[in-house]
Amino acid sequence: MDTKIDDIVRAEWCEVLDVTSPEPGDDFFEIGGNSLLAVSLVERVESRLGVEVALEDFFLDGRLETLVSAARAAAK
Amino acid sequence: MSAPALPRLGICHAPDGAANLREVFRAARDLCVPVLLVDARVAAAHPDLVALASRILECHVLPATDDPESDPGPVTGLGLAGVTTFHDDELERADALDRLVRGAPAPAVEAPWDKLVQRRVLHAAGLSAVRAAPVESPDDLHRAYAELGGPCVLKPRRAAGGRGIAFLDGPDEVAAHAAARRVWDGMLLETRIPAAPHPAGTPWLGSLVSVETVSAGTRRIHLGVLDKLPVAVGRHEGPEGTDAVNVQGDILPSVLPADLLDRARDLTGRALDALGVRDRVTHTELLLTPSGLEVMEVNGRLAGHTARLFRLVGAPDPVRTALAAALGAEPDAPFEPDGTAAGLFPTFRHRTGTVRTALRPRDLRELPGVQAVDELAGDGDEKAALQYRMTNLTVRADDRPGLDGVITRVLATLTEGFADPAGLPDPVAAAAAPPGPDPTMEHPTCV
Repeated sequence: MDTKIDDIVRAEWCEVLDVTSPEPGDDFFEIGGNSLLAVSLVERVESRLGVEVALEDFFLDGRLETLVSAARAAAK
Repeated sequence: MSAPALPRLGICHAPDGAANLREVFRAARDLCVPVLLVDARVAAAHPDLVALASRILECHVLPATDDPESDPGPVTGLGLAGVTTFHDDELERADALDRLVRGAPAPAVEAPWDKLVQRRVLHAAGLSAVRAAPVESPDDLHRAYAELGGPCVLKPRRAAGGRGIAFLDGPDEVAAHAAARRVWDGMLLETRIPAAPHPAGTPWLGSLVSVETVSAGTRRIHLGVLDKLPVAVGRHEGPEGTDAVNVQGDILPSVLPADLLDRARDLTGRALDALGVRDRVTHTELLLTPSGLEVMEVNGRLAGHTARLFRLVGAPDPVRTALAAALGAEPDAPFEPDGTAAGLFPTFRHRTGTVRTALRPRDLRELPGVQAVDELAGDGDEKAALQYRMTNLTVRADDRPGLDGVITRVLATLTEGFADPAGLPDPVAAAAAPPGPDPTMEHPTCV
């Protein structure tokens, strides 16, 4: 289950940012993401997983690994 | 025992300022409660802004007025400890509201962000050789040019980003421009100072440098000195006979020799003293000239595009520094940069027509040293759509030679990807050429 969640979050991340090889420590906002794209990414993740991810938390810590963790926690 | 309540700080916000919503949200953590204040005209022009901002921040729409002290809307009832801004267009509003909520007296210098006021104050203080005169009509232009003598620059007294500028090199150009321009409100004409090349001799370094400074009261800490890529000028390629003027990048830290760095910081401090600047982060642009440094302009907010550069070299977040300064906090001590970083936004050398490219953001992101790609002109776009910028990206390296290599690769990739060189001196040709102003570029000027 976690692997599937990880894959979905990574896929949406790559799509929104147009990257191919994201690192877990990449910060969405420091590699070209902005506030509007962040909302888009969170909504896409929420839609595909059927969960709610706190936008405020993603704004505070925009790392891929943090978003993956938040999505995993929300799916439990 | 509960923690003391954080102070509430108003932030006059608009898109494309020096700090975005996320940067404000993150920088304010454990420091203050940011309260976003959005002019009704800005809210109307950007329908998603208030809705998005309200998801993460307290947000209020202010009356559409140019006299915020007479009509402050809800501001006086919000319990604010101060008001600041990261957007050039919002400076006067933020200053007026800040005085209102603090009950502070009028500033030492009225309208300090008006470039004509700056020219007069700095000239009177012996800090600038540039002379300037107001222009509100074609007759004013002829009169001012006769008084000042050429060459001169006509520019708005209040605007950022190089809009509305015209270089006037002789009476014929003055006459032609007087006939072509339609909007004359709030202009100034100033004498044009010749530029000297950057002493480092790097092909893509321009003659402007900038100094970011935090002021706590009148105590000043200079956060950093930045080099710039040359300003690109398309003669008569702007509207109404104006010149299209674009800045093309910033590099942190500057590689000016130590004595020039000291002079840059000293001159900046004296300019801020003369303008009575307090409790804010400022962005001061200086021009390298044959006779030394010249103050070009002082901006009452953090520079656009640079907060990320500071973070990339391990500096304290300048957005947080600016919020703290607005609350009257003492600034941190100066920092030693760990590495070097640049924001690059080169323009097309040929500005007309549409973009033809297969280049994608990931092609640039995968280049060594590239940290972020915020914009990239797309195939079929009008070149004017991004104000003639090819891209807006950020690079980092551990040292300056490494960064120079990164920039070389980026520029080569852009040239190949767009089949059009950037509006910069060609690195190979420039490296082989004798030192001196690049004949393809105008003298940098304040933008």
